[in-house]
Amino acid sequence: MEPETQTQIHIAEEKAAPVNILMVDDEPANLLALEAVLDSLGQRLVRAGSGREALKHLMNEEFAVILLDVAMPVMDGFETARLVRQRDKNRLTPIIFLTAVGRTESEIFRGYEVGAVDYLLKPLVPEILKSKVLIFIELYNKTRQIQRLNTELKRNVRELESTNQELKKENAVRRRAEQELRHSEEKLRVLNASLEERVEERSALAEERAKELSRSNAELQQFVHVASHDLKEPLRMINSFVQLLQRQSADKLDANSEEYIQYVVEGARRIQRLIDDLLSYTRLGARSLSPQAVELGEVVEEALSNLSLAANECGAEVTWDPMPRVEADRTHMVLLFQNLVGNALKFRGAGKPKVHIGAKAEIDRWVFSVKDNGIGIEPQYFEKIFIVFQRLHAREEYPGTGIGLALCKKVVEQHGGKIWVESELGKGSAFYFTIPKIIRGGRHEGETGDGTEAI
Amino acid sequence: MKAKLEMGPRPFEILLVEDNLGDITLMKEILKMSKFPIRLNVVRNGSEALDYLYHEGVYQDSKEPDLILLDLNLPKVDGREVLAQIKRDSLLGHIPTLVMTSSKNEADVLEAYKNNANFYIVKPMDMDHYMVIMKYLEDFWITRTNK
Repeated sequence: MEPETQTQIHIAEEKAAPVNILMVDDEPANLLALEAVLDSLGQRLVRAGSGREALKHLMNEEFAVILLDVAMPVMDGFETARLVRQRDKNRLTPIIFLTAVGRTESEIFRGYEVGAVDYLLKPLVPEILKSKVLIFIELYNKTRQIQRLNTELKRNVRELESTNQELKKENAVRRRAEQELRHSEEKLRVLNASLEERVEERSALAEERAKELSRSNAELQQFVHVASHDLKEPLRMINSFVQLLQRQSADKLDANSEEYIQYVVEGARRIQRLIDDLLSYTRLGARSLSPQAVELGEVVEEALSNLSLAANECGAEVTWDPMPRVEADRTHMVLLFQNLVGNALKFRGAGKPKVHIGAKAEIDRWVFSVKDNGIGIEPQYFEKIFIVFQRLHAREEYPGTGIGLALCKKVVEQHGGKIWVESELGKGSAFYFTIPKIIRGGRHEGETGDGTEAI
Repeated sequence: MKAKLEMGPRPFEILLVEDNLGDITLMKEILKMSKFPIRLNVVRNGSEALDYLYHEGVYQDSKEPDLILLDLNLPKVDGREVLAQIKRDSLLGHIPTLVMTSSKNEADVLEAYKNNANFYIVKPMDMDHYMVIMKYLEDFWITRTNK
């Protein structure tokens, strides 16, 4: 609707603009007469005294209509019209021939042939002249308006087209953006999916690893177990036959051979003890804890009763504080106290061995101690002694496999505690270990010991 | 030979089912020290043990043992199967069958007793224990059968 309204407004405006009218006549009086008639039209009137002059004007300006006298010397109206028509610019410029009354029909026809649009007969009737010229002025104006409108339309169309183009471009951009968005959404989705997949894979992998680890752990346990048993078999053979040799051939052996055989017997016995200790050490790992309320007083008594032979032998005096009840694995606790007190008795000094087992409550844990008046340990070995197979003394001095304290450490750590030693060479040692009042950590919970132990 | 045999007490027949040569030798040596006349017959796997007991194959003339010492881990037919077969069979079930093995495995011990083993002996780690076991065999099984 809007463009139409605009067009109407344009037409209204155009009406005021004056146009050029070309009057061609060799008679100045005729030109004057024409001017007199047409002056009231309010247009710009241009005079030309000859065809040549008319052509000159046409070259410079644009005219709405040409009033052309037919009978002119040198170049008559027809000739002038022909030349006018030859110019591209003026091919459609209306030409009104002015001719005297009484001209032949053939003359008029000739006029139309060279491009006249109308004829006016002299003497001119002013009203007719005026109305005819007015028609052409209007025609010219309309044409111009249409041209302008056309141009404008074209421009509008161009603008529309360019807008359209831009819209299309924008559309394309948007479509591309949308596509890209969809694309990146898809990418994101795929990425997400792959991420999820990867997370799943990872957790599956982690689970797999954990399974593998526990499997390989179990396998290792199994291996140590089997290996220990398989080691024991040939050991049994060595033991038995060397002893058989001792029994049956005692009279045939010299003193050296006796001694050598003794070394074999002892060596075999030591291997056997090592294997036994190693087995109990690995069993600690294989068997999950079964924590329960344990009266440590009973545990200490049991450990001491297991050690009574050694304690009585050396006349040791063992005392202990009142012991608390803790959440722990009972078997392991017995093993722990027995090892620590056993060590205190084994590494005794020259005097009468005195061992004291202490218990002290802290906020969230118990600190236990086993103090002796034995040979003591140099500080540089404080860490080392807890490593498996680590020994500080010659076997002849103090027998043992070097597993005892490693076992203690394992037990304490499995219960979520710490173990350490304070000692001075020659003045005795104090072994400390802690047991949390509330047991935490995975090993203590959720695991059910299968209870079956193949030894 | 024949006359001598008839005169003296009949030797106590032991069937040892054992694949390990060392153990066989040890058992021979140990039993040599016994104050009782003992004849030790040895088979090396479970299949041979069953042949011996059923007088089959090369053991057509085998005598029914007074006591069987049976290892558990044997080639071919396992000692556990042999034990089950012996105790299942009414003709053999009465023969005292002692499991003698290096396995301390609780499951093995339980299974042996479930299959009516007469005793479960863990192979000793040294000579002293062997002597204890021989004493046990003499006191509980050989004298009883040879009274």
